[in-house]
Amino acid sequence: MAHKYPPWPISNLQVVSTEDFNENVQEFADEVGGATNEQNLKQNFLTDIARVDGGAVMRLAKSEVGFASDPAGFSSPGGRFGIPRTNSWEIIATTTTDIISPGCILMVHASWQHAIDGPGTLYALSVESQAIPETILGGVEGDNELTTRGGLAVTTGTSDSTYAPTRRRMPMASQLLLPLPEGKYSVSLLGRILDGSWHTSAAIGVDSRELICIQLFR
Amino acid sequence: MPVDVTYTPVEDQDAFDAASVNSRFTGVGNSIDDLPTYALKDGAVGDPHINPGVTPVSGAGQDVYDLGAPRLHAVALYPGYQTLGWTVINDGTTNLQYDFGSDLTLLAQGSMGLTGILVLLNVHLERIQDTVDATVNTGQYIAFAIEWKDSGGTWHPMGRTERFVSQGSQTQYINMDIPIRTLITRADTTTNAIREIRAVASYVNTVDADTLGAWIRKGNLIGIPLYADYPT
Repeated sequence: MAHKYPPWPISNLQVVSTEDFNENVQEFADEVGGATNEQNLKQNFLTDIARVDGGAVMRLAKSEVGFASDPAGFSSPGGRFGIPRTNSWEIIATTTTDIISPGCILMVHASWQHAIDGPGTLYALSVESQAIPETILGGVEGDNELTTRGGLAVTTGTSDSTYAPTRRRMPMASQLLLPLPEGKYSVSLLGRILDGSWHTSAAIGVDSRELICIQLFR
Repeated sequence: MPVDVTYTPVEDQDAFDAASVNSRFTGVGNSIDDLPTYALKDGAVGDPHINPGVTPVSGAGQDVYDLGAPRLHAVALYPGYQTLGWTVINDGTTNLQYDFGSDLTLLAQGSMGLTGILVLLNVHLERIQDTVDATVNTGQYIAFAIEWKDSGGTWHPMGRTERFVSQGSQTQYINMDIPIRTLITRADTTTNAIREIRAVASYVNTVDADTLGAWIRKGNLIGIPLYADYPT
């Protein structure tokens, strides 16, 4: 409105037109009544975030499990997610997020306690059950180097040959930035173990874990 | 508070000519072009209205350690799940700790506003050391976690952020990144406001009674208050 109001300025000696006058007034009414734009707002006027709808900036979703782990050994404390030895991706943690902004970027942070050195253990983040390749951690291939499994030196070619992750206890994290259109999405942390693993499925798994989804609208 | 729109009504006997009408519209127009903040109802400004330069919540920041070389940190015996008694990671002078500058009170899930604090912790652990017999094996662990401090000055350990790491032997340096991420919400704090966060460590020894230490090279602790919708 700053550059066009009033649409019909009245000149000297002009007979005031009812239509022009009404349109001038209507213009004002229309703009105040829902069309107030950036030209109407004072520069840097927005100094109080309380004026902003919270959903205009970000939207959160999360899943978390916290419990006393078992740092003493190979037992499986309650709360541990034992990754089934199916040689396929299994859901460790999941949350659903409704994306409501067309310009959204989804930020995902996952953080977990890897428990017991699982031969051939992999982790990944997924959106709608689709594992995102760049988030995959771990491996199913045996190392070709003399290295460690559970901190114990082993030699390539033995039944205990090493696979990453190689620590009996190992903090792990993965993150993802992904532009997504509007819709409802399930976001998950996945785990996968070769079906030939020597541990029982309950022993290889994840203790305390957290999956965080942040929709970034701006 | 009403908007201060400059408009002088036309009264009886007032001149109603071009000049008087235009001046009235000009006054109204100028007022609308210079709306103050209080002219907007709370929550009225949505996604298209926010200038990218607006910082939703102040207080975000980080504390970074770069010790130049690994330093042996003496850490406390693991006190138990979600129990106080951990040792704050310290570079010899200051703690790996971040102060938001003011108390932050989080809104409950189902609210819009300050509903979460994203915390990112990374620690470069060079190795674990048995400080008594220099023998380290897989039954010895260093644990890391995040704690937050309420407005009354009490620290609160966060159980779900506890992470353990083991090492093969005293000489097998692991040089591992310890990454911990958490979203602190109202459910973590009940009614308490959050003022600070910090990184802590402890040890677990299932082999003998020796104390363990952690050689730490770097640390990075980030806290980001989030102004967000947190639906149930």
